[in-house]
Amino acid sequence: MSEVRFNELRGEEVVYAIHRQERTFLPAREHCPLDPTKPGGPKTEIPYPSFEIVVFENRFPAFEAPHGAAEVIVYTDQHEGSLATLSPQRVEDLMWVWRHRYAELGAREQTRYVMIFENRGVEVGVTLHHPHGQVYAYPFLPPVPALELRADARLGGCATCALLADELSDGRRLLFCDERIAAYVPYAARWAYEVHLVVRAHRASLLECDAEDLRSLARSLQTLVRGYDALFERPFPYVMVVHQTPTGEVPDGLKRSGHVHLEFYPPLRAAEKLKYLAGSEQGAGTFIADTVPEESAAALREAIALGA
Amino acid sequence: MQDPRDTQDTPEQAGRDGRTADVASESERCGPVTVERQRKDDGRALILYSHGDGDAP
Repeated sequence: MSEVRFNELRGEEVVYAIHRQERTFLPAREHCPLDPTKPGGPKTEIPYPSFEIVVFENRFPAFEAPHGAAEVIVYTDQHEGSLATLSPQRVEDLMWVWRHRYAELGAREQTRYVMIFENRGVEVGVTLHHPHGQVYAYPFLPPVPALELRADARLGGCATCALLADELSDGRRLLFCDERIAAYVPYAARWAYEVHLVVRAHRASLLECDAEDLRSLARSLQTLVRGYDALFERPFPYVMVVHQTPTGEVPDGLKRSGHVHLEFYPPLRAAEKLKYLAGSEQGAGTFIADTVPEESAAALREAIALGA
Repeated sequence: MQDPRDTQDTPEQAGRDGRTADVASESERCGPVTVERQRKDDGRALILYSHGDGDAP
């Protein structure tokens, strides 16, 4: 069982999940726990010889019911691949799975925030290469979504709607858009190739998205990841997070607002160079960037054209 | 704003009950996806999602 302590200086919770020290770490290919269980083969987390999408409770959870949840979402029974290489139908189905997990975990009494995410690449600490993501249900409101609520309050409305309108109007950082989804490098991106995929209509969460929203989101997701992979002609590492409205109480003075969008935080600042969170980023909380978003967006637009 | 705690469909009810639903519900769907709930040997929840009417093992 994890322990949550409140760090008074930072004004934030820290989770101690010491059992995670023992979690499976980069196993040999033949011992992947996310593979299907083949007849006569080693037993894996999924006791079937084939499957489409599977969700299960993490064996090494950061959070456990009733004080939250930690689940693994396995995208495919194929060990090799990524969001870029899955069939469009599978990625669209995955959007519905995300919606389902948000609904179910968010309805639990002690859940205050549901976060769906994917870590891709050893550069961001991936321990299993099989295509998968995760979902955490937090028993408290974490700092980043709390900041988003404060941005809504500060701007007197939906901050994401306002920023989206600015990006569409400016256009220099826009990567692509259709009637439902827009993708851009944000004006004040912290990471060199940070991208936000935003549902253009104001939707607080995936629960408010209709089938066409989800279809477009899936298509946009694949377009972006293929572009990322084309940028440096290598699998592109990233942390991807689905931002949605909190499902529980929010701090006094704030409204339970929000606008569903995906944020990608890639650690690469060049083909072979990582951005490290060092003195200024960790000590002051201020990112020092080596690139400008307009140039990153131009490079990504070219890569997306190549990846199409 | 749609709130998962204000809705009445199956996953939300399971959430209100405090855990992932414990019973297989053959008719449960989420959009085009069929949902089949199971338990692993150690008690952890496992959910199979299949496109269409489902081709779960």
